[in-house]
Order: sequence, then structure tokens, then C-alpha cells
Amino acid sequence: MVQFTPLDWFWVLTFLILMVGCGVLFYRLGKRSQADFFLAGRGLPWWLPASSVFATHTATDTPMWITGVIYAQGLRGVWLATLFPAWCAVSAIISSRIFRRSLAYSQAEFQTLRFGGLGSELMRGWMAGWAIFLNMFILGWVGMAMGKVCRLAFGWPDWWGLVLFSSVCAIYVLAAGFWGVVITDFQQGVIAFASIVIVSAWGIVAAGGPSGITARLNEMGEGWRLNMFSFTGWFSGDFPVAWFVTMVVFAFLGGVGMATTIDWYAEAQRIQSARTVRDSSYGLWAGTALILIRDSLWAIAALGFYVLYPGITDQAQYEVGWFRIGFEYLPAGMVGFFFATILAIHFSTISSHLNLGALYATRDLYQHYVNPQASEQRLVWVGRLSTLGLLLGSFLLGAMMEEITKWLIFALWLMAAGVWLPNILQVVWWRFNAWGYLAAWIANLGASWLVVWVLPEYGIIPELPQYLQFWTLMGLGAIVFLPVTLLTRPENMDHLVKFYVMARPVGWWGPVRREAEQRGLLTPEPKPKARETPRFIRRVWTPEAADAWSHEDWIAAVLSMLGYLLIIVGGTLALLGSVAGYVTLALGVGASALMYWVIDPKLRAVSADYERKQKQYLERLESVTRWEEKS
Amino acid sequence: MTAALRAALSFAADEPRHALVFAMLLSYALGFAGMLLAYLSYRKRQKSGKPGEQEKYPPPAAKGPTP
Repeated sequence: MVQFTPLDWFWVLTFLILMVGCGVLFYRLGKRSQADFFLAGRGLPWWLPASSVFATHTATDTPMWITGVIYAQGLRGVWLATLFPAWCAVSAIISSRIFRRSLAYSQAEFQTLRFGGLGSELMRGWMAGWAIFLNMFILGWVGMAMGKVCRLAFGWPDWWGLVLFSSVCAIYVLAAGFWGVVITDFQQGVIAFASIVIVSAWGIVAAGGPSGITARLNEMGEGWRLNMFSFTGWFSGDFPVAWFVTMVVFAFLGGVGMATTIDWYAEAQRIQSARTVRDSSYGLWAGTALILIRDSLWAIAALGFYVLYPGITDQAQYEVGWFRIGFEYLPAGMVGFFFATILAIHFSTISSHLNLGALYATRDLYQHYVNPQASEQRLVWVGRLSTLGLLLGSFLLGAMMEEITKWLIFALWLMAAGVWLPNILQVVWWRFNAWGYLAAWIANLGASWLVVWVLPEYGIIPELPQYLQFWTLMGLGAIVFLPVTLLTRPENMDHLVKFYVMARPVGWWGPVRREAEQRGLLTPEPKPKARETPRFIRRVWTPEAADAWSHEDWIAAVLSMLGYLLIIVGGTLALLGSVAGYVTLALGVGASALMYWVIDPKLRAVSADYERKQKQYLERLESVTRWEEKS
Repeated sequence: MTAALRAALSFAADEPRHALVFAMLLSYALGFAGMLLAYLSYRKRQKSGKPGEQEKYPPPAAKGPTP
């Protein structure tokens, strides 16, 4: 139990007033239209989506998860935490640009842009329903994590913390929609980052500082915990090389498409809320880079916690380690600030998923299927009612959850594995169609259950390590979706041409590209003149040239991924005072700066022309969005 | 009956898995409900002869960067 002084209560109340006040301040902006309620009018500069990406993915359960894996696995557990979001390195350069250009509000809406006919409608309906569940599910587990923190701090029953703080957060989401979310996310991101630095540093110092932690672990015979690459073998143990390679492939190729289902949905909303393609790319990249730095801080603090409290075997006890550092080691008066930080990271995730789930319910189900002629005012109200429904549903799901880490791994891994490849193929292969994609989704939900729990339970197959679960599920999915795709007709060429010209996807789109050129919608790509000796990295772009994919994009994607990996390793080791860590971190920053140098001129050229045309296009699009108006 | 059901669902015997089973069923239910809504709406539009999804978005207007 934590004792609060009046100063502690001051911090907490000030924070709550500030957050709810934002809902009041941005109420008028949020209620203007559906685009404002769900995308903040699509006009945000890059640093607002970036802070929102960071804040959204910094939830109450996140320090529990990271502390849990570091306590159990040592520093190699950092990879578990950081390789999941690492897909953003490539996505920021490749798929965010494609999705931003599509102008789809949501991943479900993207389905009816990419595919056509009944299959696309079924896919959109399925994805919308599933996304509503997913957001409710995330709200439930994050809410329950808050319940656990409140039990630790105040001795409350779990459901008090779950219900009370999610409800307070819902006030500003209901009032101001995504405007409220993104503006409070910025403040919460700043508060959270500052506090993560302070509390983690406090914990590291309490455990004896970087050198003290290192020395103590070596004394305990636990020196392996300091090695981020302490593999347990090629294919066996908790951390085999095969798992690491799987995760790198998963992240790198996944970023080419929309491959990490659980994260992509939240990022998609932030990508669309950015004012240009360039802002969406930098928003995604910078937000995720902050996440990686955060993870390094938490990892070392968790090692410090291990040194202070070794030998805890109950997962539910050690996964609250970072919170214990804050509550037990911070001085009086700072504990309230720490609790306000916990509220900040809780609110940022709850608000995002409330608004995101409501987006699918409103835009993809209500407007698209039930009432296409609904006024903007009505759509905003449906958005609010959906928000309320998600909140209530999350209480039910949250009350069922016990161990945070198990849920998170289940959600991240299983829900992503079987649709990982189709999520990429929908972007890179023109022949992939809605029926194949739908078959992959349905097959994955069944197969993941069977492969992970049911068949091993009955002894039909052995319990597979995680990396084998991934490849097995991917293979089983391919056995289903490839024949379905090839045995059904390709999408209508008119539809594909519209999508291609609008989103300009990367990959195997030759027949569609040629058709678009024949119709005069695209200019054939000019061949380089023999006398020209262009620089290897082009620095001056025309908008038309910048719209096409080139080797600069791939070089930037590789540099981006390299930058992330070096920042993860360098940041973590630098916090332990390692010279190699400082050098690696400097290399990571260098790779990232080089990436910026390579890609920025191109992104500027794409965005300059894009911004000019977008406004006019969106107005035209909105005027024909309602089907019945045309009949 | 209950005992038979429990035996059949022995993989879901421990507490966290009860919740997982429920969550999976809920995800199916909401996904299929969305699909059903999509199908009914599509059929209604086909019957009434109203424009479908392909007419919903205007074609790109000109050469060069889009939109």
C-alpha cells in the first residue's frame, strides 16, 4: 500500500483536470465532422502522430510485459519487446506511403479500395467486426493492468481500477474524438517519457548503478543476463537463433506490406491523420524510435529490479517490478507524480483504442452498410455511442484476464502469424484477391487455435516452439489462400487501375501499370538517357518521378531497419556504461541520419504536389461517398 | 452433459484458457456479424440497382501524382 501526501494528490488531480479539460477545449473541433472525430481533419504535423504512436504503445501493461520478459530472460528479452514494433522501420518508408495515398480511414475501408465486388464487402465487414473485438480486447487487458496497479498501490479490488480510470478517460474521447486523443497523447507522451527516464534512473541507481548491476549479476552467476545475444541454441531453448531470425524477417518484410495486424490498425489511423505523406512517414518512424529508447530504459531498470529482488518465481509478482521501483523508491511528493504518469500511459492507450474501435463501428459498419446517407452530425453521435459500447465491452473482457504477458503474446503472435503473408500480398501482388484474403483470415483463426492449443493438448502434434508455430501457421494459411486466390477470378481491372493510380503500391503490378499507362492515367517511366550519369542517390525530384518506387526507397528502408537495430543494441548497452554500446548507438544515429538524407528530398517532392491535390480530391470524394446520392 | 463438454474442451481446462476460448469465440462472432451485415447490404444494393462500390470512388483525374 502506498501512502499519498497532499502533494501527491495535487499531481494526480492536476493531471486529471488537464486531460478532461482537453476534451472540453477540443469539443468543438471534434464534433465538426466524421473526419475530425476520427482523423483530426487529416492535417496533423508529423510530431503529433509521432507522440501519439509512442503514447498509444506505452500502456499500463507495457512495463509489466517488458519487466516480465527481462526478469525471466535477461537482456535477450529486449528483442521480444522491440522486434514486434521494428516493422515500422520499413513501413515508415514503404507501406505508410501506400496507405496514406489510398485515403482509407481504416484498414477495413482499404479492403474495398484494394479489392472489388462481394468479396471486398465481406472482407470489409469481417475486418470491421474483428477490429471492434480487437480494440475491446486491448482495452480489456490494458484496463486490467491498471486494476493490478491500483491493487498494488491502494489495495483496491482489480475491477475498481479497471472501471474508474477507463471511464474518466472516456470523457474526453466522447467529447472531442481523435482531436482529444492526439492532443492529450502529446502531453501524456511528454509526461510518460520524462517519468520513465526519472523512475528507471532511480531504480538503476538504487540497484547500484550500471557497474553495480553488472558486478552483482556476475557475482550471482547470472552474467548471461547481460548478453542480448545469449542464444540457447540454433533451434532449442527459450531463445534460439531460429526465433531471432524469424522475428527479423517478420519485422523487415512485414513493413513492406501491412503485416503486423495488431499494431498496424492503430498506426493506420495516425498515418491518415498526418497532413502529408512525408508527415505520416516521419510520424511513424519517430514514434517507434521513441518506443525503442523507452524499451532500453525499462530493460535496464528491470535488470536493476532483478538485482534488488532476485528469485521471484511468481510471474504476477515480478512483472510489476517497474511499478514497485516507483512506489517504493521515489521520495514522498514524487509518488503522486509517478501515479499521474501511470494514468498518462493508461489514458493514452485507452483513448486511442476507444476511438479506433468506434471508427470501425461508425465508418465501416454503420455508415457503409446501415445508413450511407447519415449526416456528419449523426456520424459523430454514432461514434460516441460506439465509444461507449466499447468501453462497456472492455470491462467484461478485462474482468476475465489474469496474466498480462500470456495475453499479450497470444494476441501479438497468433493473431499475426497466419495472415502475415496475405497482409503483405495485398499490397505487393496484383493477382491476390479478396477471396484469397478472406480465406486466409478465417483459416488463420481456426488454425492458430488448433496448432497452439488443441492438437498439442490431445497429443496429436508436439507443443511447438514459437518460431515453428509462426512458420507452421504461415504455411497452413498459404495452403488455403493460394489455391483460393488462383481458382477464383482476379479483381476487376477497372478497380485495380483506380487503386493503383491512387495508392501506387510497390511490387508485382506490371499488368495493372501497363493498363493505366494505356488509359493515359500514368506517364510511362522515362528511360535514363545514355549520356546522363545520374548520381547514385538522387537529390532532386519532380513530383511525377518521386511518385514511382526507386532504389532510394529500398536503401532508405534498409538504413532505417539498420538504424533501429543499432539503436536497440547501442541504447541498451550504453545504459550499462559499455563503450561498445556508445559506439553502436552512434552508428545507429548515423544510419538514421543517412536514411533521412536519402529519402527526404523524395518525400518532400511527393508531399508538395500531393498536399495541393488532396484537398480538392477529398471534397470530391466525400460528395460521392454516399452511394444512394448517385442513384 | 457438463462433464462431457469439459472433457471435450480439456485444452481449455485452466483458468486463463477459459477466457481465451471466450475471446476467440467473441472474435469469430463479431467478424461473422460484420460479414453478414456486409452481405445483406450488398444484396440490397444489387436488388435495388443502386451503384456499387466500384462507382463509389471517382476515377483518378489526370496523369501525375495522385490523387
